Amino acid sequence: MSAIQLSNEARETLQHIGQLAVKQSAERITRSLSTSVNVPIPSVHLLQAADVVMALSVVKTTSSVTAVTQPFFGRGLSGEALLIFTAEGMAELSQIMGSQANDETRQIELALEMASLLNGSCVQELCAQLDINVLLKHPSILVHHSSLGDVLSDSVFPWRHTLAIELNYSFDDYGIACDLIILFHEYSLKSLFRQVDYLLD
Amino acid sequence: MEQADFQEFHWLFDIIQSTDIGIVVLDKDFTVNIFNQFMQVHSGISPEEVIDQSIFQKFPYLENEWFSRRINMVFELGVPVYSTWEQRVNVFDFFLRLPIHHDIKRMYQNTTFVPLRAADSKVDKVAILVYDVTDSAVNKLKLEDARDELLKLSRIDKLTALLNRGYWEERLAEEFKRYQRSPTNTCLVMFDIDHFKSVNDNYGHGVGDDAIRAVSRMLLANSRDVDICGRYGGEEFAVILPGTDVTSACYFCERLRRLVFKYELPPYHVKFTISLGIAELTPQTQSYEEWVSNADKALYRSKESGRNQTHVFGENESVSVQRSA
Repeated sequence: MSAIQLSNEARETLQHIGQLAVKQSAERITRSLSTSVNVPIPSVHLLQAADVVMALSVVKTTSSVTAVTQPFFGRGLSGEALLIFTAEGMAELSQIMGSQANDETRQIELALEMASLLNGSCVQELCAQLDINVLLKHPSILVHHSSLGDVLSDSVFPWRHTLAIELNYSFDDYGIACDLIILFHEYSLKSLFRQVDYLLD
Repeated sequence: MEQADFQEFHWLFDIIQSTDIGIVVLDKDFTVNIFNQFMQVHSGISPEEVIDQSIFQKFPYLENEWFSRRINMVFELGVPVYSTWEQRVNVFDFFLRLPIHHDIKRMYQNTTFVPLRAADSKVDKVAILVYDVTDSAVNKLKLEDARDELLKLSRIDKLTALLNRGYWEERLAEEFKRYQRSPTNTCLVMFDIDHFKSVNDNYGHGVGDDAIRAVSRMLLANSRDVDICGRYGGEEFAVILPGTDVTSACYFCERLRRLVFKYELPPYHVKFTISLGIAELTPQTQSYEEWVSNADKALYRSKESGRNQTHVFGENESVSVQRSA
């Protein structure tokens, strides 16, 4: 039925590009937050709509998360960057950003600020490597202190595939980890793979 | 400049002026370079007043850590930075003075801080793009209010304003779980109105409903904020008393029992009584269902022994005899 496949070569290329992008963005984060970031190795999956919930490890294991989504659009390409914090991560985040107050509004503000920093730089670097210009929309809160699994299982996705690039960040001086998942809509796959092929040639 | 280039530049400038997005361009030292029409009409400030001046001259409230942190991030990191109304209602605090939509007083804004690069690709200016998202923000807030209201309605018993059975059971399950993590004295009280059927039969269902409402009022007046009061069934009530040992639970029950005993329901001066059962949560209690059943057993003993009294699960004598003066 579906002719879409992710070859090993393409996967490795995307992984490599992802890593370059993350490195660049990690440098920025380090400068901005004055704490060093462990550069994660991206994992690249081509997911069936039905598997999205199952495939995202954080979603499986943690019942209460805060997640921010940020849509992005390029020529022939679109998707959403999903940044996920666990409850413990949120508490740690307040420390990193140098905030004393631990109230709800402040936490949401911090999550959005972090998203603006991580998503923006990562998606833009990644697409820059592929020679695609992207525009990012404003980040918005998808869930706050509740189950992402519930939210995602509620929707029946009208598409069949999505390309997911998953990055698990951790920060040196803190126990915090957060996950950035860049999901490309299936209509983007054609131009995405074409750009990857250019790079492979 | 060529005539055609000049024409194109003129068009671009017109677009910047007439777009429904606020555009402000700042230097590294916060000097204003561009201040488009959107900004002019909403701030009431003309370009002559701000251009080539520090932005803080006309917008002193921007002189804060939050704003400069964002501007610095754009210059240092060279990436766009976003701010949404959920994060902060707006960056530029514009008032909307509208005759019909008078309830919306301030503009909600999403704002993007964009790096502008010079020929050497160094960031030398930052563009602040201001989107008016008042409509969607207000709608979202209204929707949230409506959802909260619905949630409240779905949890409340209409007749009594106590928690309804479904939500009360959710809370019971939570309390049971909480006890597994950190055991503290917690008591469960089940009680019902004695011979309720005869109240209904003799005075009609309206009076029966009034009796249920009266008991609920006395229950609420007699309980603390932390107590979880629910209507369990027709004339049956259930209360979780967190942080309460059996002795205090007995006082609670006896006070309520005496209140009801003394009460006369207008207009026919109907008198009625209640029977109560207490079960303390113990490590031996296997499930919250078992906890309810324990309290129910104690309530049954109160009924068996002549009604208008309180029993504690696992004890034979009624509370009135045993503990309370």
